[in-house]
Amino acid sequence: MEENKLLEVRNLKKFFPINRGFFNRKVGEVKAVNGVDFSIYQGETLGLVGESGCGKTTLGRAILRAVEPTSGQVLFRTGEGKVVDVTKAEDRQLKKIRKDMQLIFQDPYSSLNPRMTVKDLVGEPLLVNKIARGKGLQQKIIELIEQVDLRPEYMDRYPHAFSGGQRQRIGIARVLSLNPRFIVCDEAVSALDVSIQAQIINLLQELQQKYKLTYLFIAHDLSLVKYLCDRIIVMYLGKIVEIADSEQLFTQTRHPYTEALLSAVPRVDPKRKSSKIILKGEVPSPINPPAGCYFHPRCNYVQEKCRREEPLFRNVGQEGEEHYVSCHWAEQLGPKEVM
Amino acid sequence: METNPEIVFPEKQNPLESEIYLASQWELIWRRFKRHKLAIAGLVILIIIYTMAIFCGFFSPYSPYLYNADYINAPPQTLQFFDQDGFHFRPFVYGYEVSRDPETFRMEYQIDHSKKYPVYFLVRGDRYKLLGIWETDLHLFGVKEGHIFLLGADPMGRDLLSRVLYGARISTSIGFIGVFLSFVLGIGFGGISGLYGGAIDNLIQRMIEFIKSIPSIPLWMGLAAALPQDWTVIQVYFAITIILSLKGWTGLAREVRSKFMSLREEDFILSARLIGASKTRIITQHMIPSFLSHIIAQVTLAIPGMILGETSLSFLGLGIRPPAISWGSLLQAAQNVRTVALTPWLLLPGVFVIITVLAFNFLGDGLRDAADPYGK
Amino acid sequence: MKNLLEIKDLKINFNTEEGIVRAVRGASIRIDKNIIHGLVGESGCGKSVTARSVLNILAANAEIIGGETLYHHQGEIVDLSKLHPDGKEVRKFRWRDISMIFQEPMTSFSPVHTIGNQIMEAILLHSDLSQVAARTHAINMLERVGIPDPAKRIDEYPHQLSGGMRQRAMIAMALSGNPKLLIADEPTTALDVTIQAQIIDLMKQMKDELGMSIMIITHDMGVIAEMADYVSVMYLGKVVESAPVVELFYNPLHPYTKALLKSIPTINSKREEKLTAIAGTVPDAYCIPDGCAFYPRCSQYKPGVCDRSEPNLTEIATDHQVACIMYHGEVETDGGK
Repeated sequence: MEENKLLEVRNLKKFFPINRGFFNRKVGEVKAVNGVDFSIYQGETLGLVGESGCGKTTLGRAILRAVEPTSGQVLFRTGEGKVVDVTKAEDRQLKKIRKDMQLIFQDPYSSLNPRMTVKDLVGEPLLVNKIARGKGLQQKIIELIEQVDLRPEYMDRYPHAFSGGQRQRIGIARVLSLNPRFIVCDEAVSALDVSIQAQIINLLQELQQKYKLTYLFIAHDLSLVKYLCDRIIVMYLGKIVEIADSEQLFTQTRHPYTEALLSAVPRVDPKRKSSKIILKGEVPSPINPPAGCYFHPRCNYVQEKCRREEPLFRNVGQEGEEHYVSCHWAEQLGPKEVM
Repeated sequence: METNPEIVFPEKQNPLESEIYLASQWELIWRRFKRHKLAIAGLVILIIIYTMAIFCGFFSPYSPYLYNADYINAPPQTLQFFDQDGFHFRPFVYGYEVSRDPETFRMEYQIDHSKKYPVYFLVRGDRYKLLGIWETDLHLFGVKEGHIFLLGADPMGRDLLSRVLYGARISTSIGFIGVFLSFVLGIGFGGISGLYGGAIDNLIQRMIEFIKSIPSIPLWMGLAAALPQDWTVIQVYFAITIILSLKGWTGLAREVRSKFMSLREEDFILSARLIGASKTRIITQHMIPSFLSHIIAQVTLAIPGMILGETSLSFLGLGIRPPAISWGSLLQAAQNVRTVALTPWLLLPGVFVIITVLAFNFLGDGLRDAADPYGK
Repeated sequence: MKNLLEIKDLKINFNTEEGIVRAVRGASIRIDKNIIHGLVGESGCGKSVTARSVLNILAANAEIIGGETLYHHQGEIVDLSKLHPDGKEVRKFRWRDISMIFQEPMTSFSPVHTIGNQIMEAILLHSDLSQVAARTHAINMLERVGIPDPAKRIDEYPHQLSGGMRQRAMIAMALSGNPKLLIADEPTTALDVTIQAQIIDLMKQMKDELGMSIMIITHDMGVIAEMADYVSVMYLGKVVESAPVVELFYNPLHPYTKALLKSIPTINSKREEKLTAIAGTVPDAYCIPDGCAFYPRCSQYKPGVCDRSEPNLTEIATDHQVACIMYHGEVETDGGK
């Protein structure tokens, strides 16, 4: 793995078995993540977008081993510079790795134990990992709470005393207490009100600069991802269809799905209504994905080859730029601008 | 126009609110519970009943075993405040005029208005051991001369009120201990089932289904009938408790299992896992506190079943046997039609059973509604 | 007359165990004929409650305590807010004149009946069509909203349809009575962007075909920009600004509208530009600030003015109304940005 990479995912798969009947026999599999490859560079914000059911949340969790991956590798560079495979780490090693990689949840209501005070919530990671105790713990908790712009006076309150945005801050303080280097933000602002989203986004950006954090930012809001991320991954039905620099993804779109997805984003400008590419039909079930290219039943450029052969996931970027795409006709169709 | 999130504007705050903000789960539950008038009534009644059961010696005017041939099947007396002279601040009871029916040889009781026995508080009477430790002869109330039978007397002339209060000791505690056993078994088996899943879960679930399919009354009767005759009261008491809780835990185990299973998927549990919390910590600090209140509500609703179980068994003569006293064994004395016709007050222990069971149901309902203060 | 619906100074309280929640505190909205009127605001601002009050389908603990909802009906004006919620009169207007669709179509359809039966039930209830005619009409409606193979789909159950198809079926049901006004409460929030785009297109197309008005309730400024002709912005139970859509996006007047528009990243936002967040949080509905409800978060807060008196919605320019003391003339301001 190259020096500048923090994490590399190799052919990662996560299938959920479907069990039925009296003996709980396996009758099928939901192929939530179906073989993905990508890297995350130190200090970058990598966006991960796709429609519901495309496997983006599962992918985020499989990287952290919050769900056990079915196969594949997740190589992670630890603080000491060693490269470990997260999928094979043993309990003790995993506990150590997890101080470095953390998750911010979508729902600030369900992700905080309602029975614990802010102090206990923020202090728990410190206690569990024996980072601080007693007076030092108290001091550290106050620092963390101030770090996320909450008032330390409120630390004896329970989560129900706070609004969604404030709860999300508590969740961030909790994660921050471990001094992680990599954070998966799983739709971290999409449950929040519009006026609060910007507060949390600004906070996340400040923290990134201050602590040199690397983010994997999972979201369905494309405007937000474009604003926030250096590079963007587009997923469809458990597979990656395109990875590109975030500006490039919009100006030199290569995959027909990305094109349709980007065109559908409502523009916050009544004078410039988007010219939408309307896709046929609906997303197929991840239990029985179509043969060939998974996108072919809805694709506007479909050819005979798409129905038979799975396209190769390859770099089509010019002059050393990385622009990965999985479409047979990426070269022929050429880049498009969706603005 | 950059705005600074740290600017604090004068906040208009509801003083009540900051109190709620600092309220723990149990305080929130109590707040919600307080709004249930019926549940509060149930709680008060149960506190009274249990206090009387614990200090039964003090609250009952006589020893429950005090045999008195002069008062066989004496009917209940009523407390009086008025006589021909008008109101008396100190209540009193009238004595009986006893005659024997020349044909049936039954004792017949008439109120004798000439015999007036004033009732005193904190009188000396039969000796008993308070809580089984301190020996004393102090009673809450009683008469200095004559007799007082507020609930009448049984066929051996024993004071029914005293017997009901002593009987409450066994009848009400059996529910508690039985439920405690169910609770331990339920959390144990349900926890294992829910946490490990797979084959163990399958095994436990099939076992629960099997136990559930055995009809209760025959099972209880069979087991109770198998108890050796020469066992002491204490032995029988615990044996009955175990028999009653044998089935009781199954429902609870299912509840606990499903709670564990749904909690495993909760975000805050995943969050605890990701920060490196150990399994033990997750179970004891996060999972159990999340459903304990539900389980307590469930358990409260299970107690009446236990009390009724004991009453039924003892009524059938298979549970607590005389000389030990329980509400069931008291009701056993009222098994025939003659009793019902001639000495209906012997059915009064049944009224106590009904009141206790209802009170538990009200309390349990209130607890169940209050158990999840974070839901909508 | 081009007015279709006028909501005037509507006030709705919720009586909860914790106290009274003033969900709507004097909202005024005018909806013209044959336009799409957007009602935008954050959660808890009262936008859904306002919309539901039009059809009188509020929760049991809600109470309309003031204001009127005037519906212009065949030359007559009816105050819908004064009709009994379960009475005959209000039922006459539901579905046939004013119809509603919701965010989650799964919960608005009964899972035990086919969608066809549910659409037909609505048709049969409100008209004297025969069973066969009703079924034909239902199939026709399903076809118009773009459900493929409607003759077959009509006999399917809601769970057999995907989210987008369910929302289409919901629209078919709502429009089968040919209403004058469709109230759409966050109709695309639960949907993916590509499906959202389809539904937005469908609603715009149906509006033109049927010549009705749509009142769309959403928190998404993007949806508003795509769809609406006219916008009302709500904050804490009041409309703070109303304007035609272009005017609102290009010349927002109320500090809340301005801040809201600045706080959302657009597809053209540059990463170097920090988003301008609105300070603080939406106050609790139990203790709404005195004066202008927005003043604790407002960047142009004037102590002693904004926290004293509540500004009313006032017409500043043609069709542009705003409720802010800055524009009332008496107070000197620095004119925003």
